[in-house]
Amino acid sequence: MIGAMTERVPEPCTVLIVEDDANFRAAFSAAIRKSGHLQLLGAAGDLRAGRELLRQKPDVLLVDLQLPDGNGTELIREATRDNPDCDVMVVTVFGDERHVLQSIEAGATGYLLKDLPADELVREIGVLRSGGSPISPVIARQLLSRFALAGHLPAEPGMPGEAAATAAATALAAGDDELLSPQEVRVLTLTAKGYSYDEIAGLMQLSRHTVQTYVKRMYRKLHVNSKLDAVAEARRRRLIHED
Amino acid sequence: MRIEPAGAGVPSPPRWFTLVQRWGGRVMALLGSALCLVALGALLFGAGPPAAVTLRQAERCLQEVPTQEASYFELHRALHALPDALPGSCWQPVQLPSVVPPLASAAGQPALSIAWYRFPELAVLPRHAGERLWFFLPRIVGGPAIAWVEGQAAPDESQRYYITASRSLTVRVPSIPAADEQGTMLLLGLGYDREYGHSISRLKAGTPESLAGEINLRRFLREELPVVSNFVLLSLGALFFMFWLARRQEATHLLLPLAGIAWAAFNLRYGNYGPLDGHWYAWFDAAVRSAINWGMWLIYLFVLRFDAYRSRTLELLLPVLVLAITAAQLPVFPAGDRFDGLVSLASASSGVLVTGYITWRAWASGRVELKWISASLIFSSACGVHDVLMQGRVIDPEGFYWLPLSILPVYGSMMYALLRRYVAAINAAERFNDNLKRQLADQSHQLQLQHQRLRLAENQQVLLEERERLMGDMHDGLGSALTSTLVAVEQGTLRPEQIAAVLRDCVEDLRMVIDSLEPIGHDLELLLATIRHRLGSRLAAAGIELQWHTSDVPRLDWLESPQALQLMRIVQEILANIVKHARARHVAINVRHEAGAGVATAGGEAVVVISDDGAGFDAKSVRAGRGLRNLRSRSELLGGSIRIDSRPGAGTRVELRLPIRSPRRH
Repeated sequence: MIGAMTERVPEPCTVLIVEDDANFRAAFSAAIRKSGHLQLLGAAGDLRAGRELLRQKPDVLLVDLQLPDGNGTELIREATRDNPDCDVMVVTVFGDERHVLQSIEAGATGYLLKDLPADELVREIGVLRSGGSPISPVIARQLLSRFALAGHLPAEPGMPGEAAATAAATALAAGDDELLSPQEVRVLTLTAKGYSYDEIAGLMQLSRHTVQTYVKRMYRKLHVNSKLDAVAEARRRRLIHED
Repeated sequence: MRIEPAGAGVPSPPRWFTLVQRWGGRVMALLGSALCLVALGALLFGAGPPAAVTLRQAERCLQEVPTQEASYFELHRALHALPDALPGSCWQPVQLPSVVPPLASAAGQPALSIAWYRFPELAVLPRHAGERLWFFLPRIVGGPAIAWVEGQAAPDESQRYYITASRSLTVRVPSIPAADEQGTMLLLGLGYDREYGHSISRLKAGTPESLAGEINLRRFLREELPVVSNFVLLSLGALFFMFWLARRQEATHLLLPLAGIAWAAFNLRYGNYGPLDGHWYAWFDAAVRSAINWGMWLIYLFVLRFDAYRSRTLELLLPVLVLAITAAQLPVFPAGDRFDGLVSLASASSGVLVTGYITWRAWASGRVELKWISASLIFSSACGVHDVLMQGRVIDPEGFYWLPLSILPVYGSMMYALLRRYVAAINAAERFNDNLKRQLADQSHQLQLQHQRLRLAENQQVLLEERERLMGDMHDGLGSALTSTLVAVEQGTLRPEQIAAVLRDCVEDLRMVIDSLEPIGHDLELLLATIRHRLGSRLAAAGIELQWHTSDVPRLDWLESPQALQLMRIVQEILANIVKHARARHVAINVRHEAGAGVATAGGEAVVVISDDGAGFDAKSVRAGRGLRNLRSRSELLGGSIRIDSRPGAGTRVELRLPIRSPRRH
């Protein structure tokens, strides 16, 4: 399994770690050095040092949100703005909805649990590089309702899962680049109902990898949407003047 | 397609219907009024051709009735005896209308007389064959009368006329077969009392058609109008009496029916009612004549009380005056009749004075009701003065009494005053109701605010409880596990792998607490999905294949984060048992919704079935028993139930049933 994933990585990629806990930093650095095909660009303990290292345009950024001199989301925004090809993974203890969604909106496309074993860490980076993203049921549900709101559709809290998903799919499949496709809505719905990537792949007659790329695409859309939302909000508050 | 407005189930009525509804009543009222006017005009001016002849010349002979006592029977006898004996020298020419004033006679002397009238002008009034002839005297004042036509007696229609009655007289002469150039001889005898005098109007002669209009109008004004107005007075009086019965505290309302009764009694005067017996008639007449004073007093009292400013003096003075006038009219005084003019004058002048006072009050207070009442009282006083003057033969010997008419505007204005008061009271009540409504709305708004504050406080209470729960959980779970591990590490009795295992458990437990705080929105599927997301890798690591099947389950309204944590722990424990003891290769998790018959709770139940193909166990063993009790009590805390079927070697099936709606919350 691991071998199958690593084969998908064509060239060595550079990794930057920004993490204030020295233990984790050391463990992550060791895991990356051991991987063979991943190249450690650097390991920073705070935002400032992280910014310095970011200039070297890493392929992958692992970043903690709580940094001694600020919030990691700033770094995520800078990384994705300066280098759209950069894959950002947020490092979190619980993988809880609040931290993860905040990071995805800033531009992250993956998240890592801090107690992940070294080999799994490397594997997750590989999956991310090859276009796949992890997701949890709660995040899937949140994505569904975020996109429903973005499409100016009333959230329907009383609807049971499948019906709500169908409604959302119909509403969201407007063909707009910022909206979800019916396939993507189905992936989210099944995830929220507890099905694994493999089971979803089976149900939808897709490969596991395709399902994972759907998730990553949705994260990108959420990021774009949140940027658009920010622009709209700024325009509304007259912070940006149109020419 | 046109969209009907909401509530348009009933089709709107056609336009003509609305127009009829709006204007129909007014048009009908106008038409009705016009018809009434036409009828009145026909009555007044509808005396068609040929016109009647009015005679202003007559000859009169006054004849004393030689009786010892003033007996009406003697008078009647004398009237019915053909007056051949009247000396020619007796006849004197008179100009009509003629008034013979009262003459004082010596006390004890009979004063009954007959005035004979003949009309020389009639001799030149030729009659045509087959033509009927009527004579009409619009007003005579005196006693019984008789008409001799061509030597035939045509008696007065009724004998029931008293010596002071005023009335009209109609004499109907039958048609004659051949034309008569000589004209018709009419001799009219009118019995009277010299102490009263008598009066006679001009004579009208003509066909019934030419006279009918005036005769009818006279009859209507003199006889029928008082009856009609009595009917109106007594009906309205009855209404106000009932009103007073319902509200005794408003004594003013009793004045109206009492005044109505008094006026109705007074109006009897114009209908020639009363006992034939002279003695009793005198009492009846006194009562009827004084009734006007009582009626007016009651009306004044009503007005005085209606006024905000009450004149006590007048309220006390008036009944004294009325009593005095009534006493003066009583027939106990031998010469009581002679006060008549004086008494009428006193009554009329006091009426004028009070009316003047009321008018002043009305304009001083500026109250429109009082103005209307005083206007009607001025009219009524004018009528009274007219009647007194007419009764005293000062004016208008052919007119009729106006006083019976004047009560209607007076009564009308008083009713208007009461109606205005009612309408004002109703408006005030409505305003009061509106105020009450507003106050009610205010209060309910306040209540809502208070309710919101209470809910806020309740929410804070919930937050507090949540904090307590987390604290307790940390204390018993993570806290105790970490401290006992710490002690063991410090004593050096734990190997690193053991420490790692304890810490992993702690992190896992912490993750479960965090997960229970995630926004799962009462969604059981999402909750189970989260558990699977966390524990799936562990099952996979143990070589167990998970079969997952869910179908739509309604939201569980009671599933807040405390309950979510409980539920997570139940499922975690079941799965942990499978991993530790069952040696299973497959685990199936199935979620479904059951509703309808056989399900106890309203809204149905969510059923979670976790089954494995592992070793199974003996549910009667002590260790299994304790684990089961633990699971059961946790399920019951959630309002649900748990059922575990297992036999050694046959796998285990755990069925967890949870209510969709919590019975504790409703």
